[in-house]
Amino acid sequence: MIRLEHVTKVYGETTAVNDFSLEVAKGEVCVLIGPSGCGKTTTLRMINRLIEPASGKIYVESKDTSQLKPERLRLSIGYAIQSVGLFPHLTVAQNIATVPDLLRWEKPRIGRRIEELLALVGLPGEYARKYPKELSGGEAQRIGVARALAADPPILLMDEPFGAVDPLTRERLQAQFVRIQQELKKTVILVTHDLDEAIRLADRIAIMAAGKLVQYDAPETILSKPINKFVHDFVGTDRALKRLSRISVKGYIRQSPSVNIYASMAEVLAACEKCRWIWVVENDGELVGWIDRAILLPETTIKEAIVAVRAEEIAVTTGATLREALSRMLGQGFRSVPVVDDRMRLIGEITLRDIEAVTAETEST
Amino acid sequence: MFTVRKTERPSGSGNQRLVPDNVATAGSVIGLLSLPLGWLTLKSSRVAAGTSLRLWEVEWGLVALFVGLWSACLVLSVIAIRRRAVLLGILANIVIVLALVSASIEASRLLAAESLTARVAPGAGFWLTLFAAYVLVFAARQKASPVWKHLISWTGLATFFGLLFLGWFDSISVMQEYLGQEERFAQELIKHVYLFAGSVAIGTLMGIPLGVWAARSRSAEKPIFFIANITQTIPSLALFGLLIAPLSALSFAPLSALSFAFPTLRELGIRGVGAAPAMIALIIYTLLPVIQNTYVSLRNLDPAVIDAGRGMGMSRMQVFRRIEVPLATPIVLEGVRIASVQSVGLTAVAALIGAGGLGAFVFQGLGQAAPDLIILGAIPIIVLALVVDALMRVVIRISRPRGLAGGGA
Repeated sequence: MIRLEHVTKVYGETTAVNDFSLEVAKGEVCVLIGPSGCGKTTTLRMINRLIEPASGKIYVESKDTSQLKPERLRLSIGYAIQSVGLFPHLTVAQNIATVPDLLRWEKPRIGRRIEELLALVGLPGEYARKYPKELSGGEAQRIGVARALAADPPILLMDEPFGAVDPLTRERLQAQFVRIQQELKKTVILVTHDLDEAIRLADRIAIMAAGKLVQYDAPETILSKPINKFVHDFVGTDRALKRLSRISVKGYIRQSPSVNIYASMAEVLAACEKCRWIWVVENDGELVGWIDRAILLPETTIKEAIVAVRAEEIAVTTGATLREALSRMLGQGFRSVPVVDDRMRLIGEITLRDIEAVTAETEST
Repeated sequence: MFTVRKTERPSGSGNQRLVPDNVATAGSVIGLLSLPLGWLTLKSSRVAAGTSLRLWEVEWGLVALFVGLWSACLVLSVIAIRRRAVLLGILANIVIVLALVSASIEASRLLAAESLTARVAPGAGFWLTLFAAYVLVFAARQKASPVWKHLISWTGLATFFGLLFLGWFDSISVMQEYLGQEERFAQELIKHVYLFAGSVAIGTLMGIPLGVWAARSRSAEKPIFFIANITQTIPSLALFGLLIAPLSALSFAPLSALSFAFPTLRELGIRGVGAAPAMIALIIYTLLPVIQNTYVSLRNLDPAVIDAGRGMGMSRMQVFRRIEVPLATPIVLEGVRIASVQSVGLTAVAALIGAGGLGAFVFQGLGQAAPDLIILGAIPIIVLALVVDALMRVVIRISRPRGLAGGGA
């Protein structure tokens, strides 16, 4: 889909990008990451020819970009940047309509598209009439992404698109990006300096240093098998933890003992013969609490013994990562965390021992 | 500068606390102090030294009226009651109307008893009274509701123009100067407008491209501003004078063939003195504010906005038309406004090199030691500058895109 071959860019004495080759497959998210000044933004801007390479070839959908008119090329590539750059004198609707308007779409079609995109980025329709100065930082970023997607380009170039917002908003925007990407399957090249963001969003991460590509691999591989000391240091000493955030809990769910809240005391004792804790569920399987065998006396009723909890506070869903599961465990002081489905019904649990086993894999390499 | 008390709030009715409005108090005191000064000046001819007539020498009833009004203002300015601002504003406007009406009536009464060459001019007391009244207007309009604000601000001016057109001021000396040369006044006024409007228009058409060029090219930026700044520092009189020589050379010496071949050039004033050098000087003065604002408007654009436009596939021309022009226009027009107001005043000086315009009356008045003639030229210049300023502000407000900060009003 996108292929860079031996691309080099020189500014005076300094070589910003040096003999850089990279191929991004259709529908993949490639994240360019590296220390500041490593040439990642320059690389991105050479793809839509905002910067012309000194040498080398860049192909987009197997077409040599140097043979295309820059404006024509850019119209087919979505572009979103950290500072968003919404046009302050135009409404949100007019901003989103920029590329469709340049492509001379008909008015009704543009109108429909604006509605679709506002819904896609999760903003109410009345935002169409707002002006950029009336938007919060996070809202502006979302409009920036909507504007980049307006003409439904197959390719999206994003330069730190979630950079200028607070951490909480950034996390929400990233989650939304993952959801949108699952739906749209665009070919995305995204520049960031935030490794957590890269790990969260990327299908493949390209680590750059001093204008060169150092390692280009799936996030799991980058974390578990850093190619050299630079990458090893770059991903940091907490790479084991970072790697956990790439791994879904799905593969590690264990059957866990549970009892019905209306069960008799004998049943409870029988069920937790071999363990110290046992989860308590409602008739429909909804997690309602847990019982500590140590405090169980034969004459107590289950209602007295139960530690009632709200499932959403202690459990994780099947969509969670091992990192979130670990975080729940540390927060609660447990050695295991229950896994529930989206209706809070108990499926099983994740244990600390299993997570330790996963991290041990990382450390051993 | 006046300081305006923003903290004052009207308290409940009948509650008479002492909360002085300093500006209004100052205005009232000035008003009272203006009363003993000469109200009208009677002269046997337009250049003769006049005798100053006090208010009580004119009409005792007026003394009582003004003392009453100003005292009421003074009391109001110290005691906080409800709707104080509006009351003060109304009183100030009564003072203005009364001063205008009484001056015109008394002037014609005085003149009726004098010879044909006699003149009556308003004296220092009259002018100071008007000034004091406008100090009150200024104080009052800050705290009045929008409707009252406009009524308070403009009633006096409306009365003035009403009386002017009704001929009530025809006995005032300045009006007599005017009536003596009505036709010439109209001509000079039109010439003045043509001179400044024409030079601003041409200067704007030249300045905008130069400003764009300076903003785009680092190598052009320095020389453009160097020249524009230098010209701005040349005193206007000197620049007007300096331009006489090259232009007269153009029309007489080796190039006389040109003006011989094209007599229209001379008719247009391409000779040493007259409209041409004036226009050129005025255009030069227009350039700096226009170039500067154009440059600033483009340089201050958020680079991310331009980058986003280019990155989405706009051509340079489309970025210019769709983004830069709408965002820069209000700032460029602000430069045109500054240039226009400045140009109205500078055009007065252009009269010195024979360009005509309202300045002609001023210099003629200076030459003949006839103050009325000076005023006949000066006041319309001031009014013209204010009108141009107000018009340009309206245009700028309309041109400002709604999405820009502060543009919502």
